[in-house]
Formats: sequence, structure tokens, C-alpha cells
Amino acid sequence: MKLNTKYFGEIEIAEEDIYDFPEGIPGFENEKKFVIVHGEDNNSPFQWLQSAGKTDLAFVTINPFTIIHDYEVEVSDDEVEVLSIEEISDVLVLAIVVVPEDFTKISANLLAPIILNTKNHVAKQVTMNTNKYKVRQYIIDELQKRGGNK
Amino acid sequence: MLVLTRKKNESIVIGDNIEISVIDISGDQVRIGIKAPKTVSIHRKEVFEEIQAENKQAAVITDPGKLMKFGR
Repeated sequence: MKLNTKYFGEIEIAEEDIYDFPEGIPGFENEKKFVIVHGEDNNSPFQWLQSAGKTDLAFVTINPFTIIHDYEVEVSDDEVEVLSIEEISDVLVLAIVVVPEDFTKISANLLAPIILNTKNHVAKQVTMNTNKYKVRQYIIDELQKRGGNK
Repeated sequence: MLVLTRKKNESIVIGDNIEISVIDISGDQVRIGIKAPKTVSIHRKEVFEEIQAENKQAAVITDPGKLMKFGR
């Protein structure tokens, strides 16, 4: 099937590429279907989370482990059950990115990652109960802390 | 808003499957216990609002081209 995307025009997707967000995404509670879109650049750390229902709604996301290598996702057993997660290898984690005018202040929401079950394609943005991570974690700062600036 | 007074260890039941209990009171802090079905999301309001606002910001990207060049 064809899907119109905000940044990549019309793309071809399979029905099973669609992720079901039963509760939507906070702030966009009515949008319950999203697709992960990869840009043309295979080396880009970013993926796009495109709404399947609303063409002009797309989030930039990043694999949080590329920002913090020992990033820890801690979700309650209830969340695991809601997402029907059986195997940890079925889980994909993405952090929503904010790209402000000042690009050096690009940030990722590491407190509330999106947890996706790649098996049943159910997903949810989960708020972790920790003070280790922030809603607005500055990506470039984190990369510099690590010494590398790739 | 319905306002009820409860003491420590007392509860409120909402519908037939949500129970809210006052676990402890200390100064201006209250520890609250919540029993609810797994499908009911429970959030600290200020954190939830912060995440809603952040997602709304994330949906607005003025210059996606910059992003495409990141890491080059």
C-alpha cells in the first residue's frame, strides 16, 4: 500500500509495517498508527516515525543507545504485559528528537522512550520512573561527554 | 471536582476496578497507592504534561535538511 509521508513523499509500505499505538502518543492521542521510515542515508542515526493517518505528522527519532551506550530502559511488568513482550530481542526502543532552530540544542526524550514490539507491532511511549534521564537530553552534549563527536 | 477527605490507610474506589489508597502522609507529601487495570495509564500530571508539550515541539521541524547532514 502507498503512504504519503511528510518528508519523503509517497512511499510503498506493507500493512504489517504499521505499528499500533493503542493510546496514541501523548499530545497526539488520536493518532494510533505509525510507520518507521528510514531516510535515504543509511548512516543517519535518525529514523522517522510517520503517522499513517496524518501526513503532516512525523517525528524524528533516534536509537537512544547511540547517545548513551549504557542507556537503561526500565518499564514495569504491566507495560511489558500491555505490549505483550515475550522476548527482549523483539523490542525496539526509539527516543523522540526535538530539532530546534539552534541545531546545537538538538535533544532526545530519554525519560519517555517509545517501546515497540516488533513481533506484534504494538507500541507505546513509556515514561520511566527515574531521574537518570531527562525529557530534554541534549544529544551533542552527551556525545561530547563521551569524547567522540560522530 | 469531587473532593473527599481520607485518612492514612483509607481508600477511594472508582468504578469497579480502580482503587486509590492513602499509604502515608508526611508534612505536605502524600504517598498514594493505585490499583487499576493494566490498560489504564497512570501518570504524574506535571511529567505527563511535559511529555505532551515536548512531543508537540518534536512534531515541528523548521529545517529537516540540517538533520539529514548530521554526523557527516
